[in-house]
Amino acid sequence: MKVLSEITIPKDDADEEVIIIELNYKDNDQVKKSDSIMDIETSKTSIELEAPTDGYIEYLVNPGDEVVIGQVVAKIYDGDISDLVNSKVESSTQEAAKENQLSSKVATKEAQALIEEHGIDINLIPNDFIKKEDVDLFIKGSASSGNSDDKPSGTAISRSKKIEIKALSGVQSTGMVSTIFMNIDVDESLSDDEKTSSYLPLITSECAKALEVFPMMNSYFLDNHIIQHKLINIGLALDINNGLKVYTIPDTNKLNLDEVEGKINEGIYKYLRNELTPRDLSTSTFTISDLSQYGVEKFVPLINLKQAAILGVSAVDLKLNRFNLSLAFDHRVTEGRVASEFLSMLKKGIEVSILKN
Amino acid sequence: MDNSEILIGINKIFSQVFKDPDIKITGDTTSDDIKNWDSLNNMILVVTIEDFYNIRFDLNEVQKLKNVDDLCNCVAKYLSL
Repeated sequence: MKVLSEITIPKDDADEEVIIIELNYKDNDQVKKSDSIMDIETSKTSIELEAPTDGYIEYLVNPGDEVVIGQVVAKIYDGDISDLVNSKVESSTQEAAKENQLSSKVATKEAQALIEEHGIDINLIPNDFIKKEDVDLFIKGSASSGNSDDKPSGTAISRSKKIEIKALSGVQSTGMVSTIFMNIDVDESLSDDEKTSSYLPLITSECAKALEVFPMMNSYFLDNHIIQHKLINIGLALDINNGLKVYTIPDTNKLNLDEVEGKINEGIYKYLRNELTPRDLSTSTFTISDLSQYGVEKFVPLINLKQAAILGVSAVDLKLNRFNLSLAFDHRVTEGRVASEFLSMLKKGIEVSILKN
Repeated sequence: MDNSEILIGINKIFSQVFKDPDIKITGDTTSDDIKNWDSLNNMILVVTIEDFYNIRFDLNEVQKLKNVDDLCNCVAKYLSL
């Protein structure tokens, strides 16, 4: 029996780890080329992995496992692998038995019966030698703490949130992030409705122009090197009703304002329809987070993995006729002076358009 | 279904999307006339109208619509397909 193909976790621009959601076959099932063999989840979306060839499948992971990019998660063989699968099951049973033997907990027969009756995890009982009274005490303690109104309740975070946290922790955990702010003036002669109309297409378009002039803002830090992205792909952080997703506008700098607006609309539409593809959600080189519609005065956005900076857009202050832009940047890649010049250029570009009347 | 019937249906959708039960739209209504009719709410409107009438627009076509009259004509066109 020969291995025809090893299935690995594909490269993802934003994540270093993904989560196995579902295995669509059992070990030794026969699969055909292009069959969806498993579902994985990145911080941005769910992806189906396809069989690259016909054959018999062996899974090397389980649902819920966190795996790294490039890790082999399944193999496809040219023939029946029932012997291999059976020996795998046997060895895992032996391992489980061995683990039980190695457990330092010892319980009396009465205690063991009570533990089994109540389905208690033996490791949660603090004593090493467990008697019936210890189990009774544990049960009472659990019951009273369960009824307490003061006990804080917790909800497990979703898998995608877990990966999102990891992705955003990357740059932030270095402690090398600075944020600068600038106000953008809006025309005070406009009506309130006109003042609060969305500036996102204009900001995105001007941002792409500024990134051409300041390539360091379109780079990232890796192993003591600064890697400059070849393309300018601005990502827009969307969080409407279906979780945070960063929609990428490829080659943003090559689009005119109307095209940028069209792309933004397309992204919002796909987000609402839950039709964003992995391609829509990857390869962004700089991100814009727009919280203007929520009345936010000023905020510090978090830089995404493999990016040097992120721009935050706040709401228009109707009394002061202005809104705030915040730029968080990775100090390992660039410094305050360059970031300030970038933001100044952006400010000028936006104000020229919105103050021209 | 004629345009006046479509307008009644779309008016209900506007009330729902812009959370204003008293909103009144006509064929001449444009995004300048409705508070908060920005690109985000426009896309929410599009998706809600599609779901309501069980149709799918061509997004490029939708982005060229100038007023509610154009929107009604567009809905009528997709309903007749």
